[in-house]
Amino acid sequence: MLFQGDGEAFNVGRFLEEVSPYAWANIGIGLCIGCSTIGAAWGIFLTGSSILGGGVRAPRIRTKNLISIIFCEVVAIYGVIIAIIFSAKLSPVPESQLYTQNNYYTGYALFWGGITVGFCNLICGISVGINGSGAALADAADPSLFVRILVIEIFSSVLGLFGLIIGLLVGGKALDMGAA
Amino acid sequence: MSARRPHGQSYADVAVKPAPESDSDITPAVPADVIYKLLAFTAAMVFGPIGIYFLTVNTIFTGNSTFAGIAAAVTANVVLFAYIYVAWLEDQGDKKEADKAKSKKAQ
Repeated sequence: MLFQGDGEAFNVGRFLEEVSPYAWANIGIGLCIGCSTIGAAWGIFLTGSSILGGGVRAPRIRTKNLISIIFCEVVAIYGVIIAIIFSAKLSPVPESQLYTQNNYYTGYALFWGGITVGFCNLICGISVGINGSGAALADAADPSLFVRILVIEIFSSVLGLFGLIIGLLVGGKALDMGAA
Repeated sequence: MSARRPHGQSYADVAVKPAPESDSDITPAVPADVIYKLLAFTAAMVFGPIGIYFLTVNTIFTGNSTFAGIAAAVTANVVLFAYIYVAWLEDQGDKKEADKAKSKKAQ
């Protein structure tokens, strides 16, 4: 269609109306949990490799060295919470009642809410991971520095909370599918 | 022929001789209690918030999933700060022990 001279045949409005609200909602839920997990995994990957690398200099690994791992887990849990809340809004409805205004709104709200939460948590996980990697290396060089660096890590873990709050607000306005 | 064994020493003597002591520290770098704490808090982090969500969504918050979600997020942060507190306690204990060892050495 594109590059064939009849690109204008693609009707954006018709596309938006014909795509099932279920598709939007489920893509949103999938991106929410998927991006959150990528963020958390990326964070643990960055932190973990630095903990191991710092372990060469200071082979004592205590509970405080592993705090960054728990920070990254929180990021993934935020995505899981939002995905559970969003998926509770989906329920099967007969096709005749599918394309209603409320269902369109629920579909778009879950799609964009899921993208908001997913990308917030993706960036938050990377940020926590890089901070945690710096904390692990600083701890290996001088153990007394650790608590001061931990404060910075708390700030970066709060970023994911912002996405979670907005996701809750956006999803909270969407009615359950088939309600109305 | 530089690898020839020295005179007056049989092959059996060489074989019996224990391997040279290595300087490498092979004690586990991560103590077991640290691993158990991490596993326990990971389990709490997985099941705590989700459990709180499903426990409260239909009982306390009567189906309002927004408040139940907030409760779950708060639970996740409670678990996080509990872990930080445990790590801080352990750090203080380590410091005290190190100080004790130092003062003993000084005597």
